[in-house]
Amino acid sequence: MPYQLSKKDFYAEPLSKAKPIDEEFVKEAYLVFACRHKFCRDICPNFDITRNEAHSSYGFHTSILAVSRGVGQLDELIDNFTYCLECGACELRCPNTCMGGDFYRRSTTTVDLVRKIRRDHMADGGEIKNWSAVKEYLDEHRGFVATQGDLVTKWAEGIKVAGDLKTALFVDFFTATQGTEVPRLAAQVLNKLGVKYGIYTTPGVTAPELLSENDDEWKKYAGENVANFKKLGVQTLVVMNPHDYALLIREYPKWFDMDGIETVFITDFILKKMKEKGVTPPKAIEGKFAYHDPCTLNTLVVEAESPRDLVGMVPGAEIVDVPPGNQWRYCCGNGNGPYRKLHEDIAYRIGQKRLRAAADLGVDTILVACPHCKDQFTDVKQKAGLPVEPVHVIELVAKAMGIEWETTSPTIG
Amino acid sequence: MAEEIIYKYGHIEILPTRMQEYIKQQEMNEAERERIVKARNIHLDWYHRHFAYEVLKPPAEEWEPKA
Ligand code: SF4
Ligand code: SF4
Repeated sequence: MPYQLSKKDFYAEPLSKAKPIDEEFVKEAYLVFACRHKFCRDICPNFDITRNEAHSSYGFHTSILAVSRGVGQLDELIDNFTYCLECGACELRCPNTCMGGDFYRRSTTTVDLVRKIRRDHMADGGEIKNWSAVKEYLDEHRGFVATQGDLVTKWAEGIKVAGDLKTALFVDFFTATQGTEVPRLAAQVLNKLGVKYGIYTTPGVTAPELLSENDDEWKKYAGENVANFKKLGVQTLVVMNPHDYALLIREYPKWFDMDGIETVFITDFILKKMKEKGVTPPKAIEGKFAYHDPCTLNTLVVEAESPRDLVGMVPGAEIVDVPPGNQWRYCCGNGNGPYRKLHEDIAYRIGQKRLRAAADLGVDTILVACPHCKDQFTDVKQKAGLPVEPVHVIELVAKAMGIEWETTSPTIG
Repeated sequence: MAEEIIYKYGHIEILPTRMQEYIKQQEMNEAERERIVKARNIHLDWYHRHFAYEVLKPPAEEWEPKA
């Protein structure tokens, strides 16, 4: 997938109470304020629950405008900026992007905006309610850095990893500790396909949460990664977590030269290898499945095909869910940042709504392509008592390839 | 609105000199522009599926990009 570069230089200048807001930034806010179609509002999974316009792309840009014109204070408005999942749907539906972004070479970048406002506010001495929960999570990940080599290979215990790092599996701390079944089964599928790969062992803190707290620190880890990829001769980076994938495709090129490194999402990589080698999974898994498009693929990168196509390779398996364009309005509720840690209850309600839509299709399994979606839906299912089990696409494919593993969900096949 | 345009990689773009004073262009590469075009088509497909009995195309001579 080619790297997508979309960058506004004036975002680099930190906001501070001590100085006026840069006029370039103010014009940016006007572009959204002046629209008033509010397409961004109606596509937003958060607004869908809170029904508060201040929690929308329109609201965020208008807040900036209010602060710049002295009719509002960021201290009073900052809470609004926490009500964003960083899913990117509003960016796509905003006419400034959708109908003119390519023509004017200028688009709405709400996700960058909310991350910037949160970190600038905290750097300027401000506080964000419940941020201690986010900090705790980031501190845990910072703590992992000291032992990252062992930590990110532990999931592969007992699996033959025979290749070098020309093709490197990129597994972050979350996936290595809480979503282990995904890399574990993916690695076994690759072995069955005769694909050689190595494991990249020093991902650093990759969590997008860090972009809302300290982008310099995030850039430090990312910069070390890029230097390591080049030093280790990585040519193809195969990414397990779509949150990392979206960062690699959309954030890394803002700061680093990614030339010579191809970044591929795991479902895309397996699909390509299956096609190259003419392999079809031998075991049929008869069934109809819901499928949740992760917003990181579906709206941030706009590349939703490969998980669906991979499911299509499994004999007997059929997705009966609505197409990707209709899923822009869905998020699992976790969010691509600190959202679930800040707004546990609303995150739950967003997830419940999504899972109920799957239940209404009359299926008992919702396929996902993101370890965070699986984590969130597992919680939501339990709390809400909804009869729909989240299963990762890789689990389904592994099963169809005849790979059994203890955490493979018993509900499939 | 009549706007001065250029053709680039099969898509139309505003003449960049028209975007240097009030509203400026951002850094954007071809992949990002392709992403926007793709998303627009996804959105329009959805729109048409839901709200249109028929979608009319412009006359053939205005349909294909010129470069
Ligand atoms: S990025 Fe997603 S959650 Fe945030 S305002 Fe936009 S649509 Fe809403
Ligand atoms: S967890 Fe899934 S749906 Fe939620 S933000 Fe991440 S990719 Fe999007």
